Amino acid sequence: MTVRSFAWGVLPSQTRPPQDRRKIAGWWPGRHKIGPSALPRSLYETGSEADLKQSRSVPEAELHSVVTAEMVEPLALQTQLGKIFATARDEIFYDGMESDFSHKLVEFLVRYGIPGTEALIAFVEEEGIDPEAISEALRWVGEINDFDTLPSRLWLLERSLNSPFVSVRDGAVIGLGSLDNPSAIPYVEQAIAREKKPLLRQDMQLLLDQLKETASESESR
Amino acid sequence: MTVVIRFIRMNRWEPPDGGWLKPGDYPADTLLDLATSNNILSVYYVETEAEIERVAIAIAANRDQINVVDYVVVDLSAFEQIRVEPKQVRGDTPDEVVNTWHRDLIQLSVHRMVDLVGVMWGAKKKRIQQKRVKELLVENAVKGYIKRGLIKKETMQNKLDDLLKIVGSNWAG
Repeated sequence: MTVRSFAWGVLPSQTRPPQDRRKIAGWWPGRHKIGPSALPRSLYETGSEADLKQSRSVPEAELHSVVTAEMVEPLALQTQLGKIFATARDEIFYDGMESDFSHKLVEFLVRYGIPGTEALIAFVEEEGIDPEAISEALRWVGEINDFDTLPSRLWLLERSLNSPFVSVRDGAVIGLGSLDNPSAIPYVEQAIAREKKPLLRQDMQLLLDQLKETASESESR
Repeated sequence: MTVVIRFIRMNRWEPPDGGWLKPGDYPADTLLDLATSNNILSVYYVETEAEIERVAIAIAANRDQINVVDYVVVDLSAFEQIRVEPKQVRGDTPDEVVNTWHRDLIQLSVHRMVDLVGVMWGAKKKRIQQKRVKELLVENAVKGYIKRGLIKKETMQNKLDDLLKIVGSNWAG
C-alpha cells in the first residue's frame, strides 16, 4: 500500500514512511503478520507497552495467524475503516470510556496489524474525516499492545502532532502518553515550540516531562 | 478554600481557530462536558490539592480504561455569584470519602448553563497524565481509599489487580 504524503504540514524528519522507521527499530523484513480473528481484549486493556510486556497474557503464538498482508486488499481495509468511522458520527466520546467506535477500531487494528495500521495512516489523511473521531482513534492507537505495529503507531501519533485540528493534536498527545516511548521526545519538543493553544501546550509539556522521566529511568536501569 | 471540580475533555475548552467566536461567547462543544440529566449536573466540592487528586482517581476507577483525567477547578465564590443551587447527594465512586464530597447542581436552566460555561471557561484546567493516574490508582488501592468491591467494571478491577501485582502490592484490607 502506498502511503501518500501527509497533508498536515510535515517536518523533514517526519516525512519518512513507517517502513523506514521499522528499519531504524530493527524491523525484520518479510511478510506482515496479522492478528487472530477473535480479539484478545487483554491486548488493549492493561495499559502501556512497558506494563503489557510485563503482564502479557496472550502468548506470542496466538497473536499472529498465518494470514499475510498480501492477502489483504488495501482498498478493503479502507472500506472497513470507512464503516468504522461512520459509527463515530453519532457518538459523544468521554475519556477512558469505551464506545462502539473504539471497540471496532481496536478490533480492526489488532486483527490486521501492520497493514491495518498503515491503512489507518492513509485514511486519516482523507479530507472530511471528523477530527473528533480521529482524535478518539489516536487515543486508542496508543493503547494497543502489539510490538509489531509499534513503529507505525508511534509514527502516526508523532505525525498527528502536526494536525491543524486541536482535537487531533490532543489525541496524539494522549496516545503518545500511553505509549510512553522516549523516542517521541524530539517531535514533542518541536510540537511545543509550534503550539499556540495554551491548554494543549501545557499538556504537551506534561507529556514531555513524562517521556524524559521514562528515558532517565531506562538509562538508570 | 473550597473549590468545585468538574471533569472535562480538555480540547473542548480551547479557544477555537478562525476568529468567529465573539468576546463573551463560548464554543458549543463545551456543553458536551456539561451534559445534564433531569436538569442536574454532577460536581465535587473539595478543599485541597490532595483532595482534588483523590476525586480524580476515584473518577478514573469508574471508567473502562485507565486514561488521562482532565478537570476544571472553579472557586466556590464564582459559583455562588451565578447562584447555582448545590445539593449534597452521595457520589457513586469506589471511594466512599470522595462520595461525601459530591454535589448535584440542581434546577439548571439553559441560561444558568451559559453562566456555568462562562465561569468554567475562565477557570484553571488541569490534566493528570495516564502514567500518573496508574501510580495513584495503585497508591489509593493500597491505602484503602478505593475499594475493589465498589469498582463497577470488572475490567477495571482486573486492570488494578494487574497493576498491583506488577508493583508487588495488595489491596488494603
